[in-house]
Amino acid sequence: MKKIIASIFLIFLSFNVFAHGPSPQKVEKSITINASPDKVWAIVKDFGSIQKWEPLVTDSKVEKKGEDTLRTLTLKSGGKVIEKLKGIDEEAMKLKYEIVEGAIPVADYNSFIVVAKGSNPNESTVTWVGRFYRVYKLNPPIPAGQDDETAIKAVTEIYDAGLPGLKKLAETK
Amino acid sequence: MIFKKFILLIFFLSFSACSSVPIAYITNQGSNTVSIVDIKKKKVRQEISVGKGPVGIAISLKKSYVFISNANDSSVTVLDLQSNKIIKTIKVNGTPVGITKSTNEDYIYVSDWYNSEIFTIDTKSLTVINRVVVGKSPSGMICDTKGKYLFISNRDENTVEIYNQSDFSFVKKIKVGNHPYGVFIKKDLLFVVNVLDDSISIINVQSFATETIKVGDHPYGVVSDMNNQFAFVTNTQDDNVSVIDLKTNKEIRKIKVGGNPEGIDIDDKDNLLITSNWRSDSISVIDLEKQEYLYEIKTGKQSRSFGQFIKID
Repeated sequence: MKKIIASIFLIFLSFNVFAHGPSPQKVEKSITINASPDKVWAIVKDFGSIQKWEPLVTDSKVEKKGEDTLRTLTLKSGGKVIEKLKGIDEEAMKLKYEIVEGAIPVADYNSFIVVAKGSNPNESTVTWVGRFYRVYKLNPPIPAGQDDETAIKAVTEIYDAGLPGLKKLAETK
Repeated sequence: MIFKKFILLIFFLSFSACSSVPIAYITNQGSNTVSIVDIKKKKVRQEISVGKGPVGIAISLKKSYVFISNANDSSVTVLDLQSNKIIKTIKVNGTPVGITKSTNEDYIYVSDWYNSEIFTIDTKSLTVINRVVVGKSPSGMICDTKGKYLFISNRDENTVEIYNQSDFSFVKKIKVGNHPYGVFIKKDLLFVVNVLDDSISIINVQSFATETIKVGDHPYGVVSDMNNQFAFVTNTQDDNVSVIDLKTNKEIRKIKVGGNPEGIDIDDKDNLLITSNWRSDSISVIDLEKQEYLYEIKTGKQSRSFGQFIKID
């Protein structure tokens, strides 16, 4: 009986990781920072140090799994999230990552953070973009906490807390 | 006499080349509209409100309709091609995503993502006349030019299914990569993108031999040119299009386009390739022969256009 429950749970879990809603959702946020792009980029591309500027993350542990670079974040709210680094583009100053699994109510979350030159050498614009789906993957009615609104809200909160945190850190001399 | 005919032919050819007005019908998930875009004039002629979360598109020149699948309100919008007015909204169950026309254009097939069914809409009565259960999460669909088969990608079971168009009888199921989505057919080659494998499968529909080719991050749509010289794939997470040489089956180039390109369609006649860009609310226009980016046209919000979306006169 236990085995059956465990396997049902496993099936559900694997289904949860891959399946998703029909319409992708987007959150896109930008901030202007009074620091050089090089300085800001050095902070952004340090994949294992997001806790230094994202207040909603209290800890980050990086590990290599074969060719993959993964980080396990501990959220302020308690849960954990495993994220995979998908690429660091030095020329474009763009970091790409995705969520493998975890406590944020989204599915198939893909994101990038890009640093652009500002209006003077000591100014940068950072843009953080996420494309993801809601957790619930069946037809309506959609249970509370698994809908598009919940997914958008969770990601918006992370970006809205993180970008000012990044600005504060980068502008500290 | 021959000379006269020749002159006439030249005149006719040049006239038809000048008068060609390719129009793109772009579904905008975020604004619940369809943008009707004059590609050569680089402008949106009209933006029409449709159902919620429009995704897929199918154009029937023969019946003079555009069909739009609205994923978020279980409906299919029917637009008249001449007047660009909505003439009917067909309620279907579930979550319509993929949409395509039968070869003779007597039917429109709609895939229901969650209930794993295909709805058949009669293009005369504009009603659902048939429902068939297929594999898990049917997404992309396309019919061959001979009028024989309908091909369906089943996203959550990593297969492509083949059905007879004549009676919807099952023909074959083929294993492809992880999360097949967009499909395309030209001559004997069926193209399928495998979203989570960053690859495409190319299936010969005579021998059913399959080849897999690596492309970019999260591919969504695929098309190939008239003679199957090159295939083009949108990589949603790389903001570019992979160009595949179909002689060597290798990616030879990446063409930069707008943000999160999803839908892709080809217009061999006008030498155009178009992507619809979900993140940048636009379409990108590419010179097909030179394989070079030309320009971008702003559309509605979160443009997807899943399917064949260019109306070619």
